[in-house]
Amino acid sequence: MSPSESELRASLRAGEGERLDTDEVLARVRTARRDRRRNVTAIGGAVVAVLAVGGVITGIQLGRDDHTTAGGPSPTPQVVASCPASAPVVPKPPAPASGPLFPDGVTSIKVCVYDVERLSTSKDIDGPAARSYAQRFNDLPANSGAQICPQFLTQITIALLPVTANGVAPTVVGRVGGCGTTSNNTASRQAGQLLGELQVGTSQTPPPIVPSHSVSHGPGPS
Amino acid sequence: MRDETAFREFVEANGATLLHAARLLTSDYQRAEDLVQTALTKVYVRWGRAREPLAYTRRVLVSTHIDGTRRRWWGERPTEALPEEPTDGGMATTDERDELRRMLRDLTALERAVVVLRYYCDLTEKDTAASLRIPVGTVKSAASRALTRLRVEAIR
Repeated sequence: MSPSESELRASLRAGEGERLDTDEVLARVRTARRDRRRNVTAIGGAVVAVLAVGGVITGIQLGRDDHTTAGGPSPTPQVVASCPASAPVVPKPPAPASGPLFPDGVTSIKVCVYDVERLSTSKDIDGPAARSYAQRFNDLPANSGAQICPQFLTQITIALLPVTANGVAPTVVGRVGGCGTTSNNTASRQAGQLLGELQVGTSQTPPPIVPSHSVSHGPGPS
Repeated sequence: MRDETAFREFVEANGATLLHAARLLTSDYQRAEDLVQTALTKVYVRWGRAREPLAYTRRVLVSTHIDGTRRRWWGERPTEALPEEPTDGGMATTDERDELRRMLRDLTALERAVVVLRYYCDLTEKDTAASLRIPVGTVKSAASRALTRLRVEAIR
């Protein structure tokens, strides 16, 4: 050890010996511990409160989901529409017939196709496809009654049974061919193109709306 | 449950040494008391879990001091006007001790910690390194730099 180091040690020790007030130290330690516990308790309480609120909200949402999707009776029982045995007559609505053919909230459409009077085929259109068809029918211009259409070019009748959350809505009936007059007894449309799609199509996805004047008759691919 | 009696005995046995070490570290009587209090509070929270309470307390004391010397945006800010007039706080005021405190103040926080642990607490280089959680080589170089500066200062 060099002399300077020993001198340094002696110098560093000079003045030592002053004692700590142990009681004061302990009192301050206890105060600090109490504050720390209070803070921890407050933070823990806040966390528990947040978790409790979150749990209650989650429980309520799960309860709603259980109530509507799983287990127990459904508040709106599944409605099954069935096709009439024979072709219904296209009703003639009183003028003006500009109301909607299909109500809001259509969840499915039962399509019943009749050849002359006999039910030949039927299919169900569900979900977005059903809503799309309903919208497309409603968007057609109302039948003014002034136009004279050649009726009965075919003997195909189509009955559309819209189903909503409230049950089966009034049946929409149309004749394929000519103007395709379609009615639900309160509104009327000339829906020849849409009826043709429903008669022929098997897909539930409705084809895009194509204006009749824009249909191309050019040469196809060779 | 902490053994408060054992903690009290520990403070009574080592309080004076810790307080003096804190005064050497801070060069300020009030700050030294605060530093010891803070360190003992931290030790008290872990009392019973530290295998060597004195070594642990030294480490806490030094690390708390070094942490306090780092300038942080939420920490203390220097001001032009001091709120209080500095006093010796009851510390003995011999010329020699004042000179030593002044020389220690010129060291960095790490160098001061190394000097206090090595030459006041009589720790080995290895224990000093362990207390500061730095390599032994860093302790050696810091001690060498500190002694050189203190010698230079002493010669002046």
